[in-house]
Amino acid sequence: MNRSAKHRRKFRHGPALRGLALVLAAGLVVAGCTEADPEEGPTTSVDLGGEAPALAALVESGDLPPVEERLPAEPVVVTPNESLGQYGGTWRTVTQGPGDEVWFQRTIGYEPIVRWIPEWTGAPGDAEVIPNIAESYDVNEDGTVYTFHLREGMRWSDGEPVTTADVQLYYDLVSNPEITGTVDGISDSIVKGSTGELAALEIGDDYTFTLTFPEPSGVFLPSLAEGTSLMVPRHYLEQFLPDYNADLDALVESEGFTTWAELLAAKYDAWTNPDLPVLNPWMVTEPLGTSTAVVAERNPYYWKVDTEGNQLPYIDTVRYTVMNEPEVMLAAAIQGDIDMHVRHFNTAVNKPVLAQAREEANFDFFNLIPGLANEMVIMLNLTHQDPVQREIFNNLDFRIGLSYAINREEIVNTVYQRQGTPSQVSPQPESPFYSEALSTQYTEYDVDLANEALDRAGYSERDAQGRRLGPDGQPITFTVDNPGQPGFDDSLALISGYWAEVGITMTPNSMDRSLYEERRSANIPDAGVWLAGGGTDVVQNPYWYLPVSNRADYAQLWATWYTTNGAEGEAPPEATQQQMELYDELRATFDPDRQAELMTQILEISAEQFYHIGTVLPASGYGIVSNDFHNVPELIPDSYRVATPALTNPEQYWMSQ
Amino acid sequence: MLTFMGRRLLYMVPTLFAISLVSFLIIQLPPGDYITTLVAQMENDGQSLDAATIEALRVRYGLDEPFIVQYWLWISNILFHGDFGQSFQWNQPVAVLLERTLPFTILLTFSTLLFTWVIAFPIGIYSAVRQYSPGDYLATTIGFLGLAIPNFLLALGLMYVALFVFGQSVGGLFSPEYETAPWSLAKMGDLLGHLWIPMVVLGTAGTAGLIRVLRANLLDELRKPYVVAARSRGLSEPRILLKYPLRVAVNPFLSTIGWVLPALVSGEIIVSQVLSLPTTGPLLLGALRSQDMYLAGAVIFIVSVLTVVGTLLSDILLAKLDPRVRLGAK
Repeated sequence: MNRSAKHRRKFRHGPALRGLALVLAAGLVVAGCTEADPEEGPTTSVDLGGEAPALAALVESGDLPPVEERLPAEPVVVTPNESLGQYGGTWRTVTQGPGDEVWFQRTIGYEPIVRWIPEWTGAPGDAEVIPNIAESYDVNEDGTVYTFHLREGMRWSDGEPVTTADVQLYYDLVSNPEITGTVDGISDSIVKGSTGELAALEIGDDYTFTLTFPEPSGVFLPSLAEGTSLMVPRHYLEQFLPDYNADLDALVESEGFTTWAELLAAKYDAWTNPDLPVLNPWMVTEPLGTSTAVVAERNPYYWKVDTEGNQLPYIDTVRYTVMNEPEVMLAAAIQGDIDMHVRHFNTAVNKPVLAQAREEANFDFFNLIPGLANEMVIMLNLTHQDPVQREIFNNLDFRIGLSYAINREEIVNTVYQRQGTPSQVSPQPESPFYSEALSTQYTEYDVDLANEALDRAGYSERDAQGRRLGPDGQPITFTVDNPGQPGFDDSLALISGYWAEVGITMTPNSMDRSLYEERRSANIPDAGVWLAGGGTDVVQNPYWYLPVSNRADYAQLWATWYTTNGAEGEAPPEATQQQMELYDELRATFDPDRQAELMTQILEISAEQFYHIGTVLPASGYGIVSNDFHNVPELIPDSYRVATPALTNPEQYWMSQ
Repeated sequence: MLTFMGRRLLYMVPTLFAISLVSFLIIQLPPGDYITTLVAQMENDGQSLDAATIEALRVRYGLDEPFIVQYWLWISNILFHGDFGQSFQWNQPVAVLLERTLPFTILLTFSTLLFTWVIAFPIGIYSAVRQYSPGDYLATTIGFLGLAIPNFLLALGLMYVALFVFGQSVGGLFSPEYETAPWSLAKMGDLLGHLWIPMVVLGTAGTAGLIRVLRANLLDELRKPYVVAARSRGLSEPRILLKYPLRVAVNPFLSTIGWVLPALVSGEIIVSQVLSLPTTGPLLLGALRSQDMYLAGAVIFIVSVLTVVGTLLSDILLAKLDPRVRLGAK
């Protein structure tokens, strides 16, 4: 199967935001396709001279090779979102510093070997995956053999060529048990098949390599597109590895570390080590921790160009001011000190404040398709240690009754500033997996229906205070562990009231997130609440629809049973096991259409099983962008999987000078 | 005097040992460890870690060892190698992180101390000598306000003023153009231009406290017979004041030197967090939040050492200044 050819039938799920033709053109061009493309760029061009003026000056003085030598033979051609840009400018943004590296990754650090299209919707398989570092890739019919072709002449930010030797070293590192999984960015989880065996790497030549999995892998390409480059800068990292540096011990000691793994972890960190060669559009020159700002300057060897052949990025500098408190960031935004931002302070609560300030501070909003499937999901512990509680929680009518008893409209209005819709845990309407039935079942507020369902569940007996009695003759009462996200306290207080109306006693139990985590992993809680993921990344993030990861708080033991292949935990009911089989099949299916079918079946069973009780489907989120900052799409999918906003190609953002 | 100092120095050893043990214990007390917070943090972003990776990380950081083993590893490395260990969150040696932030902390601490003294000293004397005068009432009112307003609130208020009235950049110790520039006179000037906010914020409560203490002490002394005696012998008022009662009343200034450090560092945490200052405060807060225990332990340990040393210094100064302390020590 050749990619370029396949692209023609790809964007079935592409939202009709921009012309489909444009999307197709972008797909074709980014794929490195050489066919002449009849589509015109959205605007007519200004001659930019092929590279930034500062770099041209360096070429002039002989400090830098000419741009043709710095670019690969087949650079990636990025189609600007609205218009061709101008060189120059500083993108001012903010960061909270350590622990907030995600924001660097999401702005200047998203260069995987294959990547998402900017109009990502979460369609399964590789339907929305396009080549990036790789010029192209081939996959055999059943999805076991993946061949990647690198770009000839592509270079790291220090000018060294990118070759399969860099891939080989990456592979050596991730298969080294001493460091895999414990050094950031070095993990074998991506190249591990479902049997836990590493895919076999075969280096063809300097620009071709092949990965062969023992069994078909339906999730390999999408998981690469989440941000794995499959390579490390070999020429730089060798000095920190025992196989290549005989004097490593002395180096480790002189740098203040005790093991070489620690040294490697410190050196293989693009945000704190400015010497690390990168493939990103901007490279860090003022690293995290040395001052109260992190600064990244354009990478002179960046390997992407616009449709006129001008080397990207357009913007010279990205500058992150370190601010510890989101409230302070908000103040900076109101002052107009931030050019473009989609993190930290973009909450529903802050929107009115920002809306008020946007005229004076010269910025505006753009919208986000939320990645969440629910603002707060109530998860009764279906594998509770106590047999009585377990019997009650596993009673489907009991859960249905509780769901009917919740006044979700009121929660939307009072807790979430009228933002959002009453819903169970469900894919977002933009997702190809959206199902109205799944989203809206049992969501109407109806106390009579609730009481009816609870009576049907067998708990019609009540005590003197009107509390329903469980199978052991005791009043039904339980606590809900609340790890404290915005809105949780208020929502749970309301829900506790609603449930008291129908004779069920629920007590919210607020706690630190760490304690929640400890209790959950020990299977202690009666119930818990959390944000439900899987609103758009349905296939990639399925554990809200079936318990296949220990993140499925509602059924820890079933998840353990699945992840340990039945060695530990407890066997789930038949329907759930059937879901798990479907999921196994999905993971081993390469065909996106078949994956979609399987996922739909999984979701149908999930709707029947009704594992947990959802409250509110979040409304669209927002980010802020200066009116002088261009080419940011008006609607961007929001998920860490797609590195929002990096999937929209920050290198083609530009600023009016 | 030498035995006095010797005894004080000896006391320091068990004190520091106890501090190190207790602070390490307290850091470990909350449920979970660094990995739990890491997992929680990733889940806030929608990501997850598999069980095998979590286990591998625990082993790498030595978190699977019992408390006492972890403590011994930590303290023995500090004692024998001067090595404070690694920060989990930063992937860097703790020493490197402290090297960056401690100078700013010390600069801030001492400029605040200076600010406190320069303001509190004259005002304290004035309001004692001119008790119940309008000036005294004014100083008292401001003093009480300064004591009552929480530091962070003052920081937010001043920031608002700096931002919306003067259009100054929010937070930090430098303007954006100097942040990454090498040291120069202009950068120094820029630093001073930013330093006043945290200095005022941190100094206000201390100033107010000192004014009150100085005023009360001085009022006590001014009524004592020796002052009357001095006055009857025809000494000029300023000379009487400076020569006798002030020397006694000044004790609280010196005895609090030891507390200035911990008070500033702990008061500084929230203020620096709000003002985004590159000091140890936010470093410590971040470390405690993420249970980055070697970093947190090192900061607490160093601050404790400085406190104990500060207390020793103020003891010595007091002993020198006040014969009662010196003689009582015998």
